Amino acid sequence: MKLCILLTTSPEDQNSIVVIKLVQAALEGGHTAGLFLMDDGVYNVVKKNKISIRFAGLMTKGASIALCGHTAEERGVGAEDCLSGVKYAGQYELACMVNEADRFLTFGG
Amino acid sequence: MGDNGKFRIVDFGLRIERGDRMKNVAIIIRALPFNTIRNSEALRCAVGLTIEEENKIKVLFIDDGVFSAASLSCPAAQERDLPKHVETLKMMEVELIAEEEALVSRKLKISREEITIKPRQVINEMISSADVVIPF
Repeated sequence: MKLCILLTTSPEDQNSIVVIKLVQAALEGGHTAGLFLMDDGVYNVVKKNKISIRFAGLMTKGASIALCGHTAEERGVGAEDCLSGVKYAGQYELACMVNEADRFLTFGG
Repeated sequence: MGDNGKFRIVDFGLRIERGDRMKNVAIIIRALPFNTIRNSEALRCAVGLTIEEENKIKVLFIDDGVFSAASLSCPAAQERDLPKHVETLKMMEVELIAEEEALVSRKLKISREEITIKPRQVINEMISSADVVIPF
């Protein structure tokens, strides 16, 4: 089963931890997982933020992470600021995720 | 929540047949539009989701989100890019729906033909029947 998650809140929100634990559980259960970060959610994979280590761990375990390049640029977050392996993407990728997912969850404010 | 504070995913209870990729997507705009571009971002997201032509998108203005729908009739209150996104969504035949009760309680009127007004009960049914719900 493919689980896809849209995360739109910044690292200080409890959503980040919930999403990390959900994706971990999905991967451990043999499922595939994809994350799309939008709005303040893009800060979760900025290397300066401590929580980004945990998102890097998810990618190591097989999760795919993409972010909305438009909202990242508006926040001054460039591709070089983000974890390597994070796809600097657009709404097209989100549309594809929505279509491909067996289950799509949104974690917003 | 399972042992050791970890989440355990048992069953999502949803199976989609191969080839049946059409998704009913409900985008919910529920917050005030003031001092934020969040609602405009929601509409941009809706525009993006139309790229996959199989998706059936609905944009639902509920609660304080109806201020965004109403602002389309008032140029001074318009958010950035809001009218542009609405025009695009209209071209893509996306349904834009505002909650009747929320409009009445806030004494708002919508004169734009792109936005239809429906009662809360109908909107609730749309949300519960959607495959994907994206609240903003």
